[in-house]
Amino acid sequence: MPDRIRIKVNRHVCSGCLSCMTTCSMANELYASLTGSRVRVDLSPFADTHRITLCAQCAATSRSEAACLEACAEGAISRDPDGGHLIVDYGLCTGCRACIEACPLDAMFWNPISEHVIKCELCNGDPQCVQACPTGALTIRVLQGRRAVRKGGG
Amino acid sequence: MGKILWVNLTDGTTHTLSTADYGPAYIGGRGIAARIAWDAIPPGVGALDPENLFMVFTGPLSGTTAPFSGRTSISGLSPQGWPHEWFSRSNLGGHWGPSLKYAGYDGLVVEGKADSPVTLWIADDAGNKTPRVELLDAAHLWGKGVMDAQQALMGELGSDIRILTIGQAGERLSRIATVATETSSAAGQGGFGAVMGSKNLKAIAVRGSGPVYVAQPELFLARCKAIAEEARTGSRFANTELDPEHVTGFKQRWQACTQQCGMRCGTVCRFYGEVRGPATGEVLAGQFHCVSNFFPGIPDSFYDWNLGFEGGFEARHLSDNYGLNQWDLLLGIVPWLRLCGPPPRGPGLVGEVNGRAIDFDDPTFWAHLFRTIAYREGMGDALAEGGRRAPGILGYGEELAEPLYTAWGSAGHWDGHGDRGNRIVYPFWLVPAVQWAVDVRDPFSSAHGYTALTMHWSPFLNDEGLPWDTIKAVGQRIYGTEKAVDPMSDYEAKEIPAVWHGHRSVMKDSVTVDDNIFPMILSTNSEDGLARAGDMLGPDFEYHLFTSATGAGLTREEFELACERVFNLERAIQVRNFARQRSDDETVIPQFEHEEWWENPLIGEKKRLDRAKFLPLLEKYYRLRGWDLAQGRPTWSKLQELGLGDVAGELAQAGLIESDTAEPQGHGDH
Repeated sequence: MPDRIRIKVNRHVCSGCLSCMTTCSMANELYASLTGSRVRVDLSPFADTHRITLCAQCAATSRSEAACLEACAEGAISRDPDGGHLIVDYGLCTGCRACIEACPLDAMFWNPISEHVIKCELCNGDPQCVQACPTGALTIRVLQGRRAVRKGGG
Repeated sequence: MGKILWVNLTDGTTHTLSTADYGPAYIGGRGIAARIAWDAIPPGVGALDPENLFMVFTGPLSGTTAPFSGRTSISGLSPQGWPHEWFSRSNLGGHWGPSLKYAGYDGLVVEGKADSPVTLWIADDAGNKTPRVELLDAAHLWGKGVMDAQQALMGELGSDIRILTIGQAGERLSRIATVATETSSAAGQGGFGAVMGSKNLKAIAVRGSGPVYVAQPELFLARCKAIAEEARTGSRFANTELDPEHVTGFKQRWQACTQQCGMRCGTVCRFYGEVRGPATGEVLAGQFHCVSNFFPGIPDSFYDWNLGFEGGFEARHLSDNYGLNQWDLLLGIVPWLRLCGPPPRGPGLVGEVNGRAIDFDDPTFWAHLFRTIAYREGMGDALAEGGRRAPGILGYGEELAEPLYTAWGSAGHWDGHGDRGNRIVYPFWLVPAVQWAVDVRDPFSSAHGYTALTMHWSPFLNDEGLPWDTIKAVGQRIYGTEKAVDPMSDYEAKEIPAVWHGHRSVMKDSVTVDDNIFPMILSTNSEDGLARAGDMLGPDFEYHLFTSATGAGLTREEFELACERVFNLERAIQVRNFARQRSDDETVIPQFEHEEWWENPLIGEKKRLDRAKFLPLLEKYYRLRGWDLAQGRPTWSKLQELGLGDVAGELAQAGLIESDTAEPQGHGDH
């Protein structure tokens, strides 16, 4: 079984080139854009560091599941059986955007071009944004054991 | 293929052109702008006239995943141009160009003049449905600096917008005024800030949220990744580290100078979060890169003032905010003032600027100087005309300025003479000499390829440079002769890289990609020194990206021909509008007849240009281009071959070139 992975974000080394965003959009939507990207970099050209927003694949706790999953009345958001990350079933999704409202990290987005919600689903285990990042602001973190996906924590 | 937005500021109307009417014959960017200029800027128009067109273009790669593709090309008649306001171009980085593309436009053409200051606001809020185009009142922004104006606009329209703007220098029609975005990305050369100023156009703000489609997405993305990987691992400019002292002392961090930068480039990728300026006492933040490195002063060089890092950073900040061309300041005006100044350095032609004694080690003097230029105060009124024109207005120091200004109103750059910061030696500066001769500005906004090949990658500038045998073998491969890059060669074969890189300059400014990276010729990854990515050869990277992005079924030769078409069309504009001819080209010769600034260590003596050898080189260049030897103009048959029959016809009708349509007579005699 492949490693279970997450994307680690270090905004302090982000250069703001936006390669992650255009690549994410290309890989997932087959067009380049900023609005079709599952990772968002808010540029700060005049001060401070850029802000990076990306789904953290929130772990379930003993009392609750991820906010987006719980908010979805259609059951369109579930955990990938292999990776344990959160995925959207577009066959069930009605586009009500409750998940976008619920996400505590503001890491789910409405893509006005394709007219559906989007979130990071880790590109089948090979995140394209990480490959595109020239500075190490986005890197792969391999999960140890099954901690992050097992209810009740470890 | 998208649309081009045409805005008439005089009557407030807009319309669109279809990009498909221009591409792929003119590629995009600078190429399309040249065609529009031929069609719509007649002779007699001046750079600051409402009839001049201010053209800002992206290229077919803008906004895509293509590595190093974030640059924006600007074209129009150039206020900085000398002795004429030539049709010229400039370019800048940042994130503005890709956003324009996301808003649904490939380029902008601005004509006319608004009654009062305006901001052109292009907003596409819902994925490219109907972009909003408005002219907003900019009275409250007029008078603000580049960074201040942007922050004010972001406060009004949203922090996610991207802005092109001018500072006080552009408002006052300085011929060295920039068009800028973010903190230190500017179209410096050309004086296009004054063109915006002359149109009462303070800023162009864009929000783009739409898609950019490419013809073959999977192939294109695979090519982008392979090329980015090669750039990151095989380039000498690839991956530098931050300076730990600057990280702790000044909050240094990475900041890409343009969207899609794929590396941690040592030349430009530096942002400082907190530097206290010694003259103003203010805490400043911004990028510090590229020409900025001259600001602190460079010990043991021609630019050996001592301003220190903080003073240099502040001088950069002030000149960026005023919107002043730093190349003209640092390689022209400042050295010229030092040469004119008090003994022992100068003859004492000038000792003060508006009552302040000249002291280039004093940060407050720099702040004073830039303010006088930006606001045209006193002596600054002459300096705002640029370092090439100022001595004539002030009435002194002309002969001291000439050696610094290699040609066309531009201070030297990679020429081995006027530019005393970028080391290049004989015989390599012969190629820049030809490039300068036929251009209308400093050619090195997009023509570093040859100088990188022969200097940056060689043992001359780099202790770990590739051996000459490797460079010569690569030279043989791309130019057809190793003489083109042989450090012991003479005038032989120098016309070939001059033509080759002239086309590369067009290619980069048209698709658009960054000049510091492209063309990717050499690599540390390969045994023979030639860059590769998958089955692509480095010099073909732009071609492969262009064809998979656009789906244009061009051969390499046809793509090269498109670049040649643009190059010749630009020359034709200079011929038609300014009667450009060979005698103009030859005006660069005296600059290179001065002794070179550095010497070739394999030769061991400083060389000068030899006119008797250079003129045949120039003629070989004209021959290779298909230009006539007497006037250096594209011939009728060359223009026909390039599909520019209408251009040939117009030039012939004006008596500027000879038509070949007359009955052939006496051809058997010779």
